[in-house]
Amino acid sequence: MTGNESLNFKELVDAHYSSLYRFAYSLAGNEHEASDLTQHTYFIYANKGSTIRDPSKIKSWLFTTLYREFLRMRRSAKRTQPQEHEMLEAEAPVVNPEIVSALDGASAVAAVALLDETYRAPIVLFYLQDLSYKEIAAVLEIPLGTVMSRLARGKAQLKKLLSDRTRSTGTSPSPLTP
Amino acid sequence: MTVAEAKIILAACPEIPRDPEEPELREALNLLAATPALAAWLEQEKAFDRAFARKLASVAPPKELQDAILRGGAAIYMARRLITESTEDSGEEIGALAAAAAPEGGPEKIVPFYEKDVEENLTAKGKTERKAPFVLRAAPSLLAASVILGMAGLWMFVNPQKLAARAQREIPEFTEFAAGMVDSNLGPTRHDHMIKDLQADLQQEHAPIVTDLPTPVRTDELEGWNVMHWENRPVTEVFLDDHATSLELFVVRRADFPNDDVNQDPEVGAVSRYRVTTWTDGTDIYILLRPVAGANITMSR
Repeated sequence: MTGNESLNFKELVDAHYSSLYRFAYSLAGNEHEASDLTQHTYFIYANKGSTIRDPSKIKSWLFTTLYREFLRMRRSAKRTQPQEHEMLEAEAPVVNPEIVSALDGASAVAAVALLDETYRAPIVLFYLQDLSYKEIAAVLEIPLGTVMSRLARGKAQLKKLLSDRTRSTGTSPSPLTP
Repeated sequence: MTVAEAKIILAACPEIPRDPEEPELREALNLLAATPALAAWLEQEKAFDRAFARKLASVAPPKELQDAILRGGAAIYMARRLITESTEDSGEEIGALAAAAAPEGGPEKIVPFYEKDVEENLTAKGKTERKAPFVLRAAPSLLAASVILGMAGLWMFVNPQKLAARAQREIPEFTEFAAGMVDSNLGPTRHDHMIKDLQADLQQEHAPIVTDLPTPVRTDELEGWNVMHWENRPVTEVFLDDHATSLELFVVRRADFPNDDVNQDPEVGAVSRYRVTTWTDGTDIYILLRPVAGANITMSR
């Protein structure tokens, strides 16, 4: 009996589908596509999960698969690789946590959806708090240093976005639409 | 290490470890202990992180999603286990899961889920109306697949040699991967039209086709290439342009796929929405993908 055979499919769904859905929602920006991505990820697991010999890798495998499916389904019109910005963003503005507390969940997702695509996935995986930054690197198939720099730049962009919105509307941020 | 560098490292850690293994993180922590301004910055950073993480965690999946996953996925999962491994699961369990995947309200016209999915993917761009969840749409096909897989599993159970032979053939699975790569629309990482540059690059990468492109494809329409790995085996993806129709040629080493029957005469098939032509020159295996809607491939050797 292999290790993953002992894993119950339902337990696997219970354990990770919410986080996978939030990841998908943040990437895709809409509930319908997020649901499809989440289901499709488990569908692929149902077909190919038996090849995962180390049960401790299943969580990372699910996130990796969802991310790859997102890239596959996106069908970008441009046949180009996302370009990495070479320079660090300017120093990120300080954002009061109370401003974040004033957001609802959908606005938080909408804010993430406004980030450069390069930063979106690492930022969401970081804030989902399910994966270490080493696991994030494995999921996104990028070096550890790249994860760190993308997180730094992504956070700076996120804070600037929230800060700009707050400045333009007073104390509470206006609804964000991607 | 500068304070700016320390900020990048510290900001990436969900929790600040007390005794980290990485020297860079240790150095950042030392700087943190000696720099009050950095400590104050980190406190603000983590407060922001906690607040934003709480907001993302408050996003709840649709109520029906979990059931949809379980109804569709579990049936396939169990059926696959029946085929691929010797299992003690009872037929009752398979039957119950398959029944759970069955649609309510009687039988429907069964459309293979992969065809339906491809069609929807091709036409869904720009649509905003809400569709039924994926697994619910695919439920009839999942039920049919479960039954078929179950029967195949029984057949395989009494034909272990055929099961082993089936498991060893990898080109079909690789071809699906290749179609997924084409679907991803990621372009070449190296753009060049010169075959000598392609050869130099591949020589350096220890990738397939270090000598020349195969004769059936036109070398004067080379757009660029990628080098990647599939199951730890090197793969070269070459982007070609045949009269404004994009072609992608995947090349793997023949020796890396010892159990696959691949002939020197090109064999034409279809995967997803692509026409696939596969052949070998004895050293490498070539898999050429082009959209089904395009003109027929002319292969000459």
